[in-house]
Amino acid sequence: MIDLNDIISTTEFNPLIYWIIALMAIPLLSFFTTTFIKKIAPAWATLLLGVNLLISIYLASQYWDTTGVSIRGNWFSIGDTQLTYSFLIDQLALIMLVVVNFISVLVHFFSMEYMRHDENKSRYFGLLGLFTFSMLGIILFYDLLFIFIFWELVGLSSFLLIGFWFEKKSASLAANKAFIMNRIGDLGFITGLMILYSQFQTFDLEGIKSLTVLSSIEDGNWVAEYFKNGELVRNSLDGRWLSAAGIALFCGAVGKSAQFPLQVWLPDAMEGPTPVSALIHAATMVAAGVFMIARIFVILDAQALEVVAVVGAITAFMAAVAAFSQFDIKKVLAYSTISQLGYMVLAMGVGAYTAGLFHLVTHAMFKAGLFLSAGTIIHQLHQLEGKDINFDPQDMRVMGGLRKYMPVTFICFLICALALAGLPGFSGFLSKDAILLNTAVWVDEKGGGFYFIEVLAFATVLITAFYTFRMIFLVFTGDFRLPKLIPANATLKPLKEGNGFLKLPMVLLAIGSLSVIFGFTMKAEDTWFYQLIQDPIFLVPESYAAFNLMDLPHEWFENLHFRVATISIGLALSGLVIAYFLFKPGAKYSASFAEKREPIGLVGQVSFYHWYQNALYEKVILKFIMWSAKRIAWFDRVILDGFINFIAKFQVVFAHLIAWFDRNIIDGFVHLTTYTTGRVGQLTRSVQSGNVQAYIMAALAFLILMLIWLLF
Amino acid sequence: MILLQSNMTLGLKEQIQGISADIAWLAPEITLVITAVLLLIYDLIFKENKSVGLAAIAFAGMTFTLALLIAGWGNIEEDRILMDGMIRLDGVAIYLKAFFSIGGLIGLVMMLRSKQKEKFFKSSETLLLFFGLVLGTFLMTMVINFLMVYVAIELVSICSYVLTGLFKSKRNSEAAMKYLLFGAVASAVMIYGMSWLYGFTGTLDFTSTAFAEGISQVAVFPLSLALIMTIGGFVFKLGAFPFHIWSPDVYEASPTPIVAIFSSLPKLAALAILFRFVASLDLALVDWQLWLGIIAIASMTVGNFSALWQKDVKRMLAYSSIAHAGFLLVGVLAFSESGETSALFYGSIYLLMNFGAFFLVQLFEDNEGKTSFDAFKGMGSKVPYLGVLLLIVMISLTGLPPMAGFNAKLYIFSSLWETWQIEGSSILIWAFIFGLFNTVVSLFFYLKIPYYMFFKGSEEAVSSVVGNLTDKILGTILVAPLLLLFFKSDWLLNVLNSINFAL
Repeated sequence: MIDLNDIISTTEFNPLIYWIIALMAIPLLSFFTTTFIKKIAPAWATLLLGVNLLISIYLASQYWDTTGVSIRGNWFSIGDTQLTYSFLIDQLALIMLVVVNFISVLVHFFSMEYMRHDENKSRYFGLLGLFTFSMLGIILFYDLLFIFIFWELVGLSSFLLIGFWFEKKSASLAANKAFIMNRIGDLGFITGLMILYSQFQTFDLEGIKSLTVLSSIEDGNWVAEYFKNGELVRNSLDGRWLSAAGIALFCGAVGKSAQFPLQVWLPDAMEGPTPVSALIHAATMVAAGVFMIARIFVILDAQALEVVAVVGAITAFMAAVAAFSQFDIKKVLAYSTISQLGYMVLAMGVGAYTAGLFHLVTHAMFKAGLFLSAGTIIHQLHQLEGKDINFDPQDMRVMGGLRKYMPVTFICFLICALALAGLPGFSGFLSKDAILLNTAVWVDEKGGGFYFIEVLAFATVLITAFYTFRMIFLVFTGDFRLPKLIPANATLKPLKEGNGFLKLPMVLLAIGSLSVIFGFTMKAEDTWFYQLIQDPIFLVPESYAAFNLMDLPHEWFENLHFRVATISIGLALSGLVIAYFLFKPGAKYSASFAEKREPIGLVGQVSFYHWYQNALYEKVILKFIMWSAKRIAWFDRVILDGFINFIAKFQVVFAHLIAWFDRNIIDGFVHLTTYTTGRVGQLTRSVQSGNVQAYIMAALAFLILMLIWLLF
Repeated sequence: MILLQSNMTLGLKEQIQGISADIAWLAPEITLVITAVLLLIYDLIFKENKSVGLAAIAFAGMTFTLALLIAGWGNIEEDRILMDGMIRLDGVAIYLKAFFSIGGLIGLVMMLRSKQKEKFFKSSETLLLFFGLVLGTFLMTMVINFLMVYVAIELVSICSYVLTGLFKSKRNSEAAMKYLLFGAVASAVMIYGMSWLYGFTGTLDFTSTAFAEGISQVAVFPLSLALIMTIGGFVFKLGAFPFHIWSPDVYEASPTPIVAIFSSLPKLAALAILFRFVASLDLALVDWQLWLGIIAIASMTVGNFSALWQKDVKRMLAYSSIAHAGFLLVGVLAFSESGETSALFYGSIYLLMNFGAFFLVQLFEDNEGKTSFDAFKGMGSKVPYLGVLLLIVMISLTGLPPMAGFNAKLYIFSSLWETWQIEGSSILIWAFIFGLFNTVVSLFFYLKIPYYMFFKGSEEAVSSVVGNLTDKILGTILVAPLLLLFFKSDWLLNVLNSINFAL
């Protein structure tokens, strides 16, 4: 049998640790220093992140072909329980490192222009540094406790950045909402940690995984047997706790990755600066949930995975529907992000580990690209605002025909949008296709009611293409609507293309959204990403484990592949066509669009209000909480306080009795003691008369007395 | 002739060769001697502005010594008998010497930060004596031969006498005189006892088998008499009862940096000698545990109770050091590997606390010109940071968590408890009870300083400038380990556990 302390023993010294420390220290340095250097803070922070990107690329090139290097050390021990820290540099971590740092650098660069006139920009760049530091912590650590710590740090920096313009009431409310929703999810995370710790007594993922393999199901109980410091430990829990652990950990991801039913915070989070939305609320932090599922993937059992898949599919569909009637360009992108995250989670749920992570990477690129393009539009429109001209630069109703004014932005936006819609030639196609294929195979194997997952997944493809092109037609084609909306006497400055600071990141991300980046292929299986990261095998006891997709006959995939690809391309194209007919310049919806206050009809309403989820929370759950709070307050005031008051009164009476006893009996004793102590002190001190002869006499007298006493 | 007796088989030539081969092992001691000589030469060559050069040489010498000791830590695989049976170099010795040189460095820093800086660095004489004292303590950690014991103790003592009286004032001279006379008597008693032991055994090497065989032939009464007299000399350096009476006067009169050295280095060095000495005594032969137990109990009690009534902080700390000598003896009393580890741990922590306390007291002394408790009135609100540091040190001296002083007391008493459970000797449990009781008593006078600082308002509105930023940083560096080693005491314990104790 295996000893836990052998699994989590300290590894030999590896100079790689210095690189890891550097990776995390540099963004942290940016966080600590930017406050002091107000003027050059943006350039300084960007430079630091650039260095970080170079380090990640260097590490990636060094460790690309290795199977994963792990570094572990002792953090502290309590009794014989050791808490360790550990890092794992495997391909997944390397890819995430490069992606996070790459997008972070681009966002820093973009922000140099975007935040140029903001007086708090040093704080802004500091917070970006804090965020990057925390995100890298999640990626690098291979220990659930540390992942949780950095998970919370990420949540904090997200909170601070959403509420960056905290003078705006809506921004601070949105920040609170994000924080609270994430907290609900984190409750699940902690529960998961507690279950795993009580079973395995370690947070180290390597330890957890090794012990999960060795655990077994006996009579419906989940039993883990191992040695710890040479003593046999046998922990037994009801088998359902195994599923519960996975589901509880998944709750953390539900909060962070904005999954149903906690997804309502993400659209509100768009109150933050747009580059932040690109970095945190599209590309990286929200993907941390998916990354975390990937880290714990192998210890999820069949039931937990089913929950994951169902939640993912529902989220993908709901958010896609919500996206198609929004007016705010960032809201559209926010819902689209939720929807795409739903795809990733769905992929994880059906066991398509690689496909989910692949979509994470491609989505990070094209969604960041979309956000930065939208940011450019917002930034340029914002320049037009003046004394008499007030409008919301994020509202698509003021846009239109921007293709003529901002051609580069249009091209970038279009490329990223095509990737989002999942059309061939763009990265989104490869990854989304892989997810759909794996889902289809999984549903075929499962059968029964699980077909609704497949239906939702494919419906989402159609809606995605629809809302994407609705956005493109509304923003870039037709006439510029703003001049008609402003007072007639006001003169409008000409709308210009963004400068190089804005263009470069957009262009790079648009290039990153082309499928050739991942290989000259139409099949996800042939990309280098798939060669690098393979689906792992589930480690939970056999009776609880889900089936591995790779165990299914390969022909199933072959047979379905063509069909799935055709259907998804067909659906995407139909979405495009519907959008074209509804929103092309001069079409019915397009013409009345600018005057509309909110969408009409049941579907439009449901979509615009995101299935009334917010209203449900406010009207039902919040009300229930307030109601029960009142009840509890009453109980507290009347029953508890009454009881305490009674005790207090009783105590006062009793205290008087004690006081008498204390004053007369105890104090008397204490006075006696101090008096005696004082006397003894006087006595011992009185030897010190200051006369040296007397000193020597005294010392010798003591010595002789001692001798006499000892010897006779 | 005496020396040759134990090594009759070796020719003189071989002996000299052996001795010169051993010199390499004494590199730290030689560094100290060379530094002292350099100081002397520098003093003779340059006429003016000598203080910078002297300080630089002193610091360099002490730092190099520390470096040599740290480097030597890894090299020592087994105990080495050096210099033809005069001294034994082992892990304990190196550990203590390293700590002594750290103490020496802190002492030098204290001299630099003192208001009387000029006096210390005016010429080389203070530093010369200071290095002599440190050299003496180094030797005391290693000696196994009575003659060498005497030489080492006297080296320390004579340097101490002169250092006490160096700043020519009536008070200093008087204290130095008292110290000298008292020390002379203690030495006389000790060497008288040693001469008896030599008479019994015919050897000066108390670790040799000849010594063990020799004393087993002697009747208990004369043997006890000789042993107690010998131990009396060690107790004098340890500053424990009944040879403790000199310390308050000396501490009060001497400059604070010197007191800080007096109250730590020689004490721990004496403890090392005591350890080696009692290790060579068979408990079945003489009940030395009873003697040391009585000395420990008496020291703790006398020190703590006398400290209660002191009006001067330095005098109070003098009594406190007497009490701590008693606590250190408890570690010897336990006489086990864990006892020795915990005594060394206690000693190390004591050294740190002691330097911290005197350093901070010096800051206040320099400001007010006196060290009575009244000088501390209301200082807490004026210099809150240093006040808190002093509070930390005082809590640590009392031995309360969360300071390392607590761990030190905890380890030393738990090892005493273990020994008691094995041996069941009643003096051990008495020492245990008195130790705990005294810890409570000590709370009263240690917390008196923070009490005066934070709860008593100052009468006169003196614009006090106590300690600049450098002092605050230095104070923090001295105090931080006390907190740190409470939480991470295993760092130091791991070092101590790697020492191979020869019991």
